Amino acid sequence: MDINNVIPQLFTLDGFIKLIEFLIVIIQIIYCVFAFLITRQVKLMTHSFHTEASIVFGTIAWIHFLFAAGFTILSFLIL
Amino acid sequence: MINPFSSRLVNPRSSRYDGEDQDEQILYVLRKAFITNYKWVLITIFFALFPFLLNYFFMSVNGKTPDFIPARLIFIVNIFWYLFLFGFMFANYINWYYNIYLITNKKIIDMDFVGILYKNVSEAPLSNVEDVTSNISGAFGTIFNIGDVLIQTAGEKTEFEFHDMSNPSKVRDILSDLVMEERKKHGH
Repeated sequence: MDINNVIPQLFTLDGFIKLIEFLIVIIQIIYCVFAFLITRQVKLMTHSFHTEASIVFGTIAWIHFLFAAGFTILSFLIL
Repeated sequence: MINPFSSRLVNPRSSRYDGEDQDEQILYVLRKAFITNYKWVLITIFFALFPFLLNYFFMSVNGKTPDFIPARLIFIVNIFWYLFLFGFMFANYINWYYNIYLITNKKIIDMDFVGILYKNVSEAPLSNVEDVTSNISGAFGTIFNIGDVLIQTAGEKTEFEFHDMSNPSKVRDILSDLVMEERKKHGH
């Protein structure tokens, strides 16, 4: 890919939309890291203090992470 | 079924903490009053409504110039927005839920989690508690009966602070009674 062709394309509508789509996928990847950190944090918290709700929080954290990861893959494919 | 928004649990049978002794029993689990979470709750509500405005903007732009903004992009942005909002809400909620003060038949424990990467646990035996003070300050505290409970102890960590307790006088009274009982047990 020639860089001299890429930069002028960013100033077209299609180029701008592509840039936005690329940024969204990058943000989603960063978000997946955050979602994974939440699962670790929930594990640490439930280990420190165990309640009836611990299993619910753990499950929610994992579903959230898996959904974030799946959605990032989906975004990568359709954008 | 335990109320997930409760800031005070009495004798929670199924709860235990890391480091609990065999003969130890949790008597109280205390958290900040739920109303102190109003900031992130309001932010969540505000941002939950935001896509409606954004979608109205997208529709008006696409109405004038069809396919100006691709439908797939609008779809992804909307779903991701609510996913992000859910993550924000969940992280804040569990942070509130697990930032607890425990009173057992032996100790007081202050468990702090700051953000998602910091944990600090302090504890002191009830027999080391020397003085318990409660205070309520400001309009918010006075209206909702929310305040701090300060506990002076003889030990490495000389002061425990239970912040934003609902009905702090009640908490002070509970703690003082437990300390008196503990002193009687040990003949002080």
